[in-house]
Amino acid sequence: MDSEALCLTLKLAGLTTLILVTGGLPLGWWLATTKWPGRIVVESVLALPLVLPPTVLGFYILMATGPRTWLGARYAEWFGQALPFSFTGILFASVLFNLPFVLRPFIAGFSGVDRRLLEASWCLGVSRLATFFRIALPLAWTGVVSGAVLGFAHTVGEFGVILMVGGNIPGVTRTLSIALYDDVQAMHYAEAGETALWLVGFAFVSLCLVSLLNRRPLNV
Amino acid sequence: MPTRHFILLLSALSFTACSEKAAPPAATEDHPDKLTIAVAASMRYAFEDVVAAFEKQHPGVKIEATYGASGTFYTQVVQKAPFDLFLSADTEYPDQLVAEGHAKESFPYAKGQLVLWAPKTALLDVATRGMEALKDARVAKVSIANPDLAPYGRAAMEAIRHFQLDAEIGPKLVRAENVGQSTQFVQSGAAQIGLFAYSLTFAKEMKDQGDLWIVPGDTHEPLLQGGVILPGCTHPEAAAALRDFLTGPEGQAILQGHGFSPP
Repeated sequence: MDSEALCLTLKLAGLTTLILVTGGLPLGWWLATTKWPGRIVVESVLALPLVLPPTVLGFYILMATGPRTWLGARYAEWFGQALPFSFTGILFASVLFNLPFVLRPFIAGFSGVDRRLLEASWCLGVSRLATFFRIALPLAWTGVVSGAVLGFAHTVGEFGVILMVGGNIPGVTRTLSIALYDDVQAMHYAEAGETALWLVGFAFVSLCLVSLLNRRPLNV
Repeated sequence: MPTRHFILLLSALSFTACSEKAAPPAATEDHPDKLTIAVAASMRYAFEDVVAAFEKQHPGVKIEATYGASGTFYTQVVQKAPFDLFLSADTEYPDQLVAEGHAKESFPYAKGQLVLWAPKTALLDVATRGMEALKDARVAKVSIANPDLAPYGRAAMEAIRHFQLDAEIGPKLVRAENVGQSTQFVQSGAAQIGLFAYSLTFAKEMKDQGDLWIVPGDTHEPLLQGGVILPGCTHPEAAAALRDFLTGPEGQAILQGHGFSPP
């Protein structure tokens, strides 16, 4: 298996998960607790990548961040490199694309937290932030870990967006799934088979982990 | 708390496993000048040999090649993809990049040939029947590269039209994303026959396995292949050295061993 691609895939999936967990916790908490009717709209927009073809997202990212747009030109000016075909570019695409995979389990986890426990904590004079970390997060942890695992696993399996936004540049944007595609085109079936088998194994283990986490409360 | 530990583990994993190397000083064998090159898929196996020979002569240079359709690379170069060099399967895309100010000058490096290829096991007798083999009842799918993006796909369509087979063959055509994929379609048996780059039949998975007919050059526009060094090139001297190697006697000898002729 291509170790450079493996490394890049782990880096991409790790960073994507880190960003999504950091941003997803407050966002998920807000969506799970707010009574604002507009939350349906926000939730639907954030869930779009679940059903949209990856090429749609890839197309918009390319168009929005290419060197011909104002945004893309400013970015290239500041960072010396356009966003498409760079690692930052695929990271950006990956964060957008995987948001619902992380956010939905978060919302489900937070929705299951008993509000009376939170109120009890507030009444005892514990701040809202401390209540979140000491009461809500531990109670919702299966949802949070499921979200993180799904986000990580789904990033490893990304293909369309990465190919469109990243091209296929060794060491920069060639992740495992792209390397597999490239190996098949080159008729390197043995390498392709090895990569595919690893990816199947990884996906299976991730899903087992998620199932295990979500079954736990029933056994207690 | 398990959540926090898990996230820490994930980030630690991704950072320690793949920590970035510091910017390399002068080029040495340990810190080579890296060239990222967009290469037309028709050049895949020939270019792998060119890279091996070039890197032996220039131990301070490391070449990373990406193979795909020339038209795809053209678009990516316009969108400022970080390639140092682009080797196209035609001269139109490089010339267009020069005309649009995306590159300074283009150079021709080879002339390719279009081939009609079927596996020997298909018993289509391609070598003697030529394009007539496409009319065989056993042919359900004909593989070509996407004519909108791949010069070899364009040449394949021109040849099909030249032999006035478009009405008959049209519904059987499968268009691969690039010429490499079009060979893979036939090699894997998904399509029975294909029109693609002669150079790709030198791949070890296809060599001596095929029944082939070289399509005469006068049935399509010449497949003159050209390249450009791109303005964002990180190591212009190394890129120029590679261009000179490719167009020089050693590079040309390797290309001829893969069915290309001099430009």
